[in-house]
Amino acid sequence: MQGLFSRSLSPHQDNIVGKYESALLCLGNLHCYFGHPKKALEAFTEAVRVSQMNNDDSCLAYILGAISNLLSKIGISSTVGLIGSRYSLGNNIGLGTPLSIQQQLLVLLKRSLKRADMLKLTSLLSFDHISLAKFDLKHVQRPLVSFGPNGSTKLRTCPADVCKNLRLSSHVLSDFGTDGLSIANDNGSFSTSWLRNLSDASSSWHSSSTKPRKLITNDFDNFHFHAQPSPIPTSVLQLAGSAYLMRATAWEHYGSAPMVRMNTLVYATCFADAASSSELSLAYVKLIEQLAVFKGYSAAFCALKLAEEKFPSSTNSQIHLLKMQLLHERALHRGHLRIAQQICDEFGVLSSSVSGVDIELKTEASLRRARTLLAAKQFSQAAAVANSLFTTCYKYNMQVENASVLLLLAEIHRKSDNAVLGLPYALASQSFCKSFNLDLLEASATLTLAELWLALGSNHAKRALSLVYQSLPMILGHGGLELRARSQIVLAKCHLTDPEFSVSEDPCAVLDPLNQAAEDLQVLEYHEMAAEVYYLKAMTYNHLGKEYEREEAAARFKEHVTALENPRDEEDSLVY
Amino acid sequence: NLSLFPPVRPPKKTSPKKPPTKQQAAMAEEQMEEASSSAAASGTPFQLQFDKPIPFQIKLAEWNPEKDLLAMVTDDSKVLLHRFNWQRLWTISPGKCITSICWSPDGKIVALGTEDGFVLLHDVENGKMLRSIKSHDVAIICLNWAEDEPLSRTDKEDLLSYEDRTTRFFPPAPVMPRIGGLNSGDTGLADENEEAIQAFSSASCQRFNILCTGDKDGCICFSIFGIFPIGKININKVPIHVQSSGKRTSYRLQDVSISKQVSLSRNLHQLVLLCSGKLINTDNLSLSNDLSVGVHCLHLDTSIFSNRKNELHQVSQQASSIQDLVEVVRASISMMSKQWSNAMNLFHEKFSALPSLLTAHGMESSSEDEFMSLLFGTHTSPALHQFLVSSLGEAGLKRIAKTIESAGRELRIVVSEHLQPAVEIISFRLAELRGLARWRSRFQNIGLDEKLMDGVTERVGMLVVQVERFSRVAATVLYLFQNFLSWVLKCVKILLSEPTDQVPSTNSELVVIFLKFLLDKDPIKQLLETDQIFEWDIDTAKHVEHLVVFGGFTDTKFLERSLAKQFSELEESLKEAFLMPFTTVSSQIHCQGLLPLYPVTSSDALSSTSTPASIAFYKDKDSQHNASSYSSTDYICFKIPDGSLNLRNFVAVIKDFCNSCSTSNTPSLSGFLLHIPVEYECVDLSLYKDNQVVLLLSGKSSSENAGRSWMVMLQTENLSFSQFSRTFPANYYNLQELEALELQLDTDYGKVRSVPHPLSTPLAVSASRGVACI
Repeated sequence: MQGLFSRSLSPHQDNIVGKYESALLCLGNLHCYFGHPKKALEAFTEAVRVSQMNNDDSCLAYILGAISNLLSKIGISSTVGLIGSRYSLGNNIGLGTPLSIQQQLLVLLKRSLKRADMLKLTSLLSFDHISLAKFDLKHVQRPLVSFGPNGSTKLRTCPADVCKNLRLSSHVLSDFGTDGLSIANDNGSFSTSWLRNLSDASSSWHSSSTKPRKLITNDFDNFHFHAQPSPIPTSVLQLAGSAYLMRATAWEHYGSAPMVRMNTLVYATCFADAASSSELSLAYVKLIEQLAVFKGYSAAFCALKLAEEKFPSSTNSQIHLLKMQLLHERALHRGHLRIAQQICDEFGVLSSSVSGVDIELKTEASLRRARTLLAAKQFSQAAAVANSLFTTCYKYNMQVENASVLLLLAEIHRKSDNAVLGLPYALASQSFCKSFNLDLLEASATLTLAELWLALGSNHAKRALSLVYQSLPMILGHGGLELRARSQIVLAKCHLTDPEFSVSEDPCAVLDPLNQAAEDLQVLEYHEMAAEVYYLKAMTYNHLGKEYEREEAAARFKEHVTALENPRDEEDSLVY
Repeated sequence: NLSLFPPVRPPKKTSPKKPPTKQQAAMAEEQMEEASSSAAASGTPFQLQFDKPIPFQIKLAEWNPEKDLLAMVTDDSKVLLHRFNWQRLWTISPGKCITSICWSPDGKIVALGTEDGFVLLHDVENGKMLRSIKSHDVAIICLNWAEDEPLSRTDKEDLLSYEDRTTRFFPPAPVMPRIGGLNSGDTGLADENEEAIQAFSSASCQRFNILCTGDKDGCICFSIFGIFPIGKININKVPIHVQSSGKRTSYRLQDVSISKQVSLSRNLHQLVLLCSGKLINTDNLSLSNDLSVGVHCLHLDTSIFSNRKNELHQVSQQASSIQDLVEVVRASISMMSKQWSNAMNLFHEKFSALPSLLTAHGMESSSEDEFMSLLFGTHTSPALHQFLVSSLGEAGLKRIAKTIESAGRELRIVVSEHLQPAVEIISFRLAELRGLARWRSRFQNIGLDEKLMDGVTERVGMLVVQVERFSRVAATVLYLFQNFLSWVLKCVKILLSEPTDQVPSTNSELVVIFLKFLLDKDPIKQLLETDQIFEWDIDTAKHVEHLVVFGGFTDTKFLERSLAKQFSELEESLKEAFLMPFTTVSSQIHCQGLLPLYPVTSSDALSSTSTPASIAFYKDKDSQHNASSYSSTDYICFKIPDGSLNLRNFVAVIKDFCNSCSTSNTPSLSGFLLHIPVEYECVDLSLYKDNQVVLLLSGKSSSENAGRSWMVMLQTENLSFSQFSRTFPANYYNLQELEALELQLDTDYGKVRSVPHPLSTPLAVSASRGVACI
């Protein structure tokens, strides 16, 4: 969504009264874009002063929006002390206590929203709604002032609010004519674009007239080549499109894979003409991620190649990042740890060295490092990395990331045969997920919990089984290949461990999930887990006395173990 | 006359106050209080609570299972709802002949079956119709709405419980768009129901329940929550296998007509029904004889409902909401199309005057050319001048502008408040269903098909694209209209030499675009019609094909379709996807057993449907402690029509029919016959809560007791059941073997009360409250 904001400002340039404050606003946005929060804030402060002097309400509204954008974008902690002094928001609402940075952000957004609504600045309104949705996605909205026992404190995020805000922001498309600042001007731009398309239009007219079918042309359909230049400003289209991208992001959090795909596709289909390259590439990144998770790496890399052609990689960091992520995952699955380590290091280099900037990238880098260490069975080091990551996330109040770090810690303890230690982490992760409505992550936390119980002994098999059953609808519906395979394995293991369960009575209960898992893992090239599956299969067939099948499974097991232990052709891992 | 007796426990009875000799049939209802069972011996067992004369003949009556409400259907098919004290709550006339009635288990909905095969669901609060579902072709004779017994939930099932995430992630679902105040055309039926439908769909999803409906031709339909059809069987086609002396014989029933009673056990495991028809041996058709025509009792195995109730519950919860939302989308599309075409008609009507004026002035130019030359200031032709100033005029122009503006506003509201949210929620719910379909071990055997669900998910994605395309086209077109009309207004003002400073500034380029592309075309309408195929350019085609590599829609032709067409495709695939569970579940309902009750001659076959009968399931006493696996015993109680089996004035009670069908060793079929004193005849009967039978006896007009009636409640436990064998193929009707007991009105079998009027049907018994008879 970067760059979105500066675009919604474009109508500003037409505003004759406040050229100076508009310039300041643009300056601030540029500083913000290039990562100089302090300078940006200085520019904004000056802009506020000037526009207050000139009674330029609309500019003020934009500045409020811009500041909130700044706050949400740069690592929140680095602004502590920057804002408090000059803005003293706390005093403005009559409270002596300083507000947390999140609450300041919320206050700013709400104010900007109110002003935009008053002044009928529909683009700004839409932007503010999207920002609010972004805020609601990751933060619990607490009431600023709560009096007495009646002040209800709901400790969950409210996804319905996100949805409402996004719907409201989509109104920008239908209301674009009423935006107070964006009056269409007679500067001939339409004629120009029309003339430019004229030759295309007339030539394709001929080709289409030869078609046997009687087709109807809809001149205002954006999918039609000689559709007329649309009076809808590009910035409005981009805002409307961002709502769809934002929806896709929200569903990534909440866990609904088909919704992520659908919203991204709607964006890529309907808004590709107006989208900025960064947003469009984000959409493609999301689509490729989906492919990798649900269809395996070969499909994803195939799509990635196309995307790289479309967006030259030198200019686009998102595609580059995605490539590294995919390579890392694949290296981990194939057991090419040296390569994985190498990619992790590259990740570390990508982010800026200034503390508090590029936090998301840094978080991701450490998360990947911890996972690589875990795969290399260096448990204590992995735990150390994860712990320090948790501290960082906690410091920057990144609760959503906390949930996944805690889950990773639980996983580390489970793999290091320390199930008892892992339990509290898994539970903590689960409760984080509950309060932030991260359903898919919660389901995988539940699955980890089940694995932990299972590790504690066969008398916990029943409990583990019920936990698996709880998580299955989410995992099967929205989880990727890896998660699905894992849940199937745990399911089979639960049955096998359960002393009351007899394989010979109900072999399907074990074999069906195992076969399913084997299928999924084949696509994913995940040797470690595939080996586990074939091991379990061989054991089951042994119980059943089916020797031929047993030998077959055992052979596959051996194959995967060898592949894991003697990673051949490691260099392949960087090729796709 | 209706009489009510104060509420206690529930037997009941009715007494008419006026002799039915008058044209106006008199009816009375009474509610009787049953003295607590210890006090039963001490005199009057029933008390008259209230009575009241009502001026219609009541045909059907049913007590609400939760509250003191009595729903009655009159002969002229009005539905009345009364409280216990006869306060009338509402009356509705559905305008169709009502043939059956029942309450939902939570008492919030009345289901009515009509003669033409509709099931109507009405809200108890106000009588509003919530739904009307056509599930049968002929009259629905009986309705039974059974709820899953909460006790049967075990710990394991609780763990399998599933949260519907929709309420967490979305604001309340959109309702059908209401036609705005301005253009109040004919408001469809749908409009007034909208709130109720919402309330209904959210409230009904509480506990799993199934409505079964049986029609005259022997079809039985099952629908979850009364709205989501999940199965249908035709008794005429169900093979009945009878195990007799080691041989397995197949029978089939022909010309089946279901009699008044169908009952689903409370654990949804079994279904017992009474039907009349001809039993034929499919292995040997010659074996059938006259005797084979009769009333039979069938036991159907519906264990699919209880075994898979969690799965069915989840699926139907999602699917029924999806169907609601699909209706919302349909209503939205049709309303937008109506609103827009109204506005366009006005516009074209006004502007069509221009070409004729041009011809009248002998000019050959088109209206487009004239406007163009006006725009570029070359000249204003007399025709255009006349058109703008006199035939259109400022007022006419403003009217058009206002109409189009309001139509545009409506369009915008419908898209943003109804269409988009509805499609969004549909897609979410479908995604959830698809997730469920992936859990093959649980959901495949109820027919949730992964492939079909994938297809539907794909289609709904395309629909979202179409909606987005539509809203964009609509926004553009509306803006252009607004721009053009302000420009024309400005021109008119200039021609009239009026000041133009009130008119908003316009963009002349957009006017050109309007004149070229909108004056005689209607892109909005194109998108709302189903039969249009759109052309689209090569770049877009490439783009869409390109997206397929990234996991895009594989059907790359979807942009050719219009919004309405895409919607109808979605509907089709939804229908197909939901048909799978329907057929799968239907195929898993089997007939478990058959018991011929009594033969009927073909002449009175019709009347047999009105013979009083009652079926009920009682929980076994000894299994009540064991909540997880209780079983229930079925009781069938019916009046044997005079003459059949050479018996007169007999009532039969049979128990354990189901258990005798399913298990060979445990309690076998038993029953008894009850002989009613000759001077009375049994008018109606009903099974009542603790294994009691309530009989309504009326004095025969010939006897001296004419005009006197009795209401009798019998404890079945006090009566001796005798076992009888099921040697069915050899001997059709075994009821004669049963011990016949004389009913004496003053014995201690049960409780008796006399009513000083002739009685008529129906008898309505309520387990929680009173009993009423009319």
